[in-house]
Amino acid sequence: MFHVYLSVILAGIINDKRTQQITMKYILVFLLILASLTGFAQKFTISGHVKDSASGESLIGASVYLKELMKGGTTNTYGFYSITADAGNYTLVGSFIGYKDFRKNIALNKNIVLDIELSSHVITTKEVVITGDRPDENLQNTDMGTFNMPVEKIKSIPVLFGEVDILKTITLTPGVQSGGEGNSAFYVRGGGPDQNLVLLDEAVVYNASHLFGFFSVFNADALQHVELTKSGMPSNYGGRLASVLDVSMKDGNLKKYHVDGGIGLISSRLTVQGPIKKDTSSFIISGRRTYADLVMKPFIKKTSDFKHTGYYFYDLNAKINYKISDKDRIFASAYFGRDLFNMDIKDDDLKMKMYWGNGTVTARWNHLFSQKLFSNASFIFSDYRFEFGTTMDMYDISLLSGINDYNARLDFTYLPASSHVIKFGADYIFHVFTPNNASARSGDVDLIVGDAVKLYSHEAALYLNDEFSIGKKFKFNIGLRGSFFAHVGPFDRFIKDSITDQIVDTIKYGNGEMVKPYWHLEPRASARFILNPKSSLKASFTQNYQYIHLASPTTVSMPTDVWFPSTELVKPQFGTQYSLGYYRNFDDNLIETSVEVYYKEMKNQIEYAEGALIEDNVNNNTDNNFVFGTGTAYGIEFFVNKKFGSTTGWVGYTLARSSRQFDDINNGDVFSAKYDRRHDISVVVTHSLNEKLTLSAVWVYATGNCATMPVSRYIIGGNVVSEYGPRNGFRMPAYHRADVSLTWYPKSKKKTRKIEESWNFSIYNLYNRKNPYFIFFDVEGDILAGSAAITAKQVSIFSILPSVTWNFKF
Amino acid sequence: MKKFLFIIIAISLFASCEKELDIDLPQPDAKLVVEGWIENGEYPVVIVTRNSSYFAPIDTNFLMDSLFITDALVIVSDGFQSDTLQPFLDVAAYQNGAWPIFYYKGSKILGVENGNYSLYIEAEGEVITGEASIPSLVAFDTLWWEAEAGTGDSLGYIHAMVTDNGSEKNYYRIFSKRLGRDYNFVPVMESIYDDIYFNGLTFEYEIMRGELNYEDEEIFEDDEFGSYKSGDTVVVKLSSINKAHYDFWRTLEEDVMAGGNPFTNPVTIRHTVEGALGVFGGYGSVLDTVIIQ
Repeated sequence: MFHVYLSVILAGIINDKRTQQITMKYILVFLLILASLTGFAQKFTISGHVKDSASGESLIGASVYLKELMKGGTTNTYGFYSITADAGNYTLVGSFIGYKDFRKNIALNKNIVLDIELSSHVITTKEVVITGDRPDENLQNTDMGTFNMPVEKIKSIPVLFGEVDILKTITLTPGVQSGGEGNSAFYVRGGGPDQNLVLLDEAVVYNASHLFGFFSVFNADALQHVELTKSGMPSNYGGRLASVLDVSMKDGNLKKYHVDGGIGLISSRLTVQGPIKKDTSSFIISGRRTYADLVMKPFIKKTSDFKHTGYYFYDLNAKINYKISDKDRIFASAYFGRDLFNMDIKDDDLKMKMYWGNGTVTARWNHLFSQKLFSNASFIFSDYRFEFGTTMDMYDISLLSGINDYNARLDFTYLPASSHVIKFGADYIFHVFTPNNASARSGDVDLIVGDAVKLYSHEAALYLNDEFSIGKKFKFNIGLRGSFFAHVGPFDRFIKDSITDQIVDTIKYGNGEMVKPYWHLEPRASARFILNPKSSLKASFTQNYQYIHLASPTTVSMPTDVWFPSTELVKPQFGTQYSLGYYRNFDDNLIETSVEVYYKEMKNQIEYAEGALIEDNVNNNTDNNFVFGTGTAYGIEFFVNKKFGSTTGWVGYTLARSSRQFDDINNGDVFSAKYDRRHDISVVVTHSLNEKLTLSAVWVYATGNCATMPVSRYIIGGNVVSEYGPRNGFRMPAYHRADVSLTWYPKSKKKTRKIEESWNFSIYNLYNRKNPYFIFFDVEGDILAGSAAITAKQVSIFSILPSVTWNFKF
Repeated sequence: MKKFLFIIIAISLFASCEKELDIDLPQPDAKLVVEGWIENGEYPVVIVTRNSSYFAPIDTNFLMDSLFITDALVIVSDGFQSDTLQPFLDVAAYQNGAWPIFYYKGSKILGVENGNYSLYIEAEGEVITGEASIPSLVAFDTLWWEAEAGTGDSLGYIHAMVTDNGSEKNYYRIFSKRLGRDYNFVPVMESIYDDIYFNGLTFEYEIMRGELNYEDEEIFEDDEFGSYKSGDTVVVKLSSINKAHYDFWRTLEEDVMAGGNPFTNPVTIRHTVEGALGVFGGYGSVLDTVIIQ
């Protein structure tokens, strides 16, 4: 109330000495606004970091609040929290799923720095968890379409070959689909595979899949937190239309050395972490390698030419951190992974080698300017490359494509009062694309395949975001992002004559010379209205621009997919999403449910022109092969989630449609998107039978993928030729499958045994459903002798697959 | 070729299960198909057929009664005179498993280098037209046969040395015919070329013997698959074609190889005739013979 009196007094002063006080008036008004925001002498701040008491790891997304005011927030990516409130006595509560709540009485009569340590709680078989109030974060926050899950929880869900996989787990949530077996991408709310921003410790991961999509590049042992945002993307994220998958690595145990690992049927992994200086500095190193090819060998016929085929992949994660002081902390993390495939068919004198993979390095510096102003500066380098080489008789062909990013960003979080969280910052990336560099030799002659082309561009953004409450019922998250993109030289634009295919002119751009700039504003807004303590309503509206794109010349996402920038011909993709949701918790927050509807419009979507050959890059600009159109996606998602108790799990159902319209494809008629899926159901259940056994089961059902089917056939040159029908006009049979797994935690009678171990037995595709991978048409017999027939056949990949993994920890 | 390899990778790595699927495809619109060409020194040849529903059986009834259109009016003109092509049933071709079995052949106009031709067809109440041209001829520098290792010097590939003209855009199609064994010229494996990769260069490449079609899996087991055998006399034909003709065969070959695999989008074939599916194109051909000892 003090500042109200002050303002009245000041107003009186101003009126008496009008002309002389005009400038003073402005200063005072400014001070008053500042006073109301900063809690002029009557508010204090309590801040600190929330950590795991056993390892010292920062806990991301933990709830910290003053019980009496029900005001607070969640910790950021570095475990930092800050609450500003009027002076008084309060109970500070810190809570996080899987941990015992922290409570402490505090007298907030001065600024306090308090680090909170949470201890994990033991799984009980009882239904009710004895840790006090269950969080109702899902009702309280403005996050819509967000899914986050502590990595430890993900580890109990069975996937292929007993391998834990976070990408596969997120596809079990509504609105997120995998493309099916053998398809390396995930699709969020009808968006394309390039529309998801996948970050590992802030570095962009361009191809998050191994082995054509059966596994992701994320080794769960090295990870701490995974969060997927499907709608209401806040303004600190940008550059992709559909979603953000933000993955954080563990920092490394600050207190003790630990080794964890596992040996499985097709891969093994090992993680070592520990303090370099206790409570100050730690490291973590994690590796995984597969030996899938050795396991597959029994399935390859002995007479097959492919007996000399090898395939393996590996992942390596490393991180170190150092706490310089209470105000400064630095981190350095790196990831490196590769898939290597080689084939040697001696009979045909054919040798082939193919490899692809990502490499990322991130250096970060957290700096606390004050208890209310948190900042982070990051320097990131990201590399993705794909290389293919083949030697067949006297032909030698090699193909290289990739992308390099040099990225710097600065992020600030300002918490002036407990009802505002203000974020602002800047992001800059320099991209170097190598869309398709090929070289070929025939005997001794180098064939002409065009000079190695590299495309350069700058991408930058500035953002401002404010999350604030009005009263007890309304909370808003409003932001604006200003983004900029420029394609710069060196670059040659070839102008070709459409009839003779000859180059008639070349426009040459020099080093750094501007070829084409784009800049846009992206408003983001979401709101939450509390209906009653058990339910809330949320809405969001976002607009996004995407400046880099993935063109897939194939109907299935492959590592050969090429990333390329916006250019003069390729405009940035533009997406608008509206989303509305109703959230209701039951049984004292034991069961969370939600219904969300969304509607998206995507402009400037890109496809390869029908009949384009990707090899047509000789003396040609890649972007001449593209055509552009629009996309529409809408759907409704139902979700029921039980997070506590001895039985946990969720059921998700999505009813959705995703379609595209391109003037140059399908005669301009609307067609279903490749990954349009009408129904998508996931059921995940985890049940702890007792302290030693946990059972887990998954069942998924999805409408089949689209395909383009032939409508008629004819004969040319003695061969059967297909005439195709409407693009994606045909539905393959539905995909469904059940997996089960049993994890056994044997506890040794001898207390001295230091190794904790567990055995995981799992069965993938329990009822052996033959899900179609693709359909092809087999022409059998002799056409010209008049004894041939055409049959449609489907190929499926996985039958029922049992597996065993032994995991250890010490 | 890359696409082929991807199919191989996917299938080789995993225990794949194949099963027959019952698909109901709607009855298609009836369309006419034209396969026509004119070669230097030869009369024009045009084949007119019908399309059919996708799963209809291909038996002798189909070949004899429903595939070919036998009462079409087919006329080729070169700007000076017109030639009405006459229908012809090539019984010997049928007996030899060759193509075409039934076609229309000219008797007045012989193709010439750099000539331009137009096609006019009236069939089943439809009118079909097309244009073709024969580009300048290009010959091989040299042609020879080399035995492949491990075959006891009996099987090998034919090697060719070609100098491409750097100042013009060239497209090629290559055929081979083993005297006494092949009834007609058969396109070789990967028969279509665009000079974009070797414009103006002199380079060597391998010619692998092609088959008329690749559906019969038994042909892959044959030792002679793709090779030329010692003792054969092989006539190799290097035909120059124009861009429209090249685009047709390139997209057609892709479609035939694809067969609905997941690694390519369905191919749009670049037809060169109006009023029907198919092609009418010119070949500027040069023949050369290799006698394999």
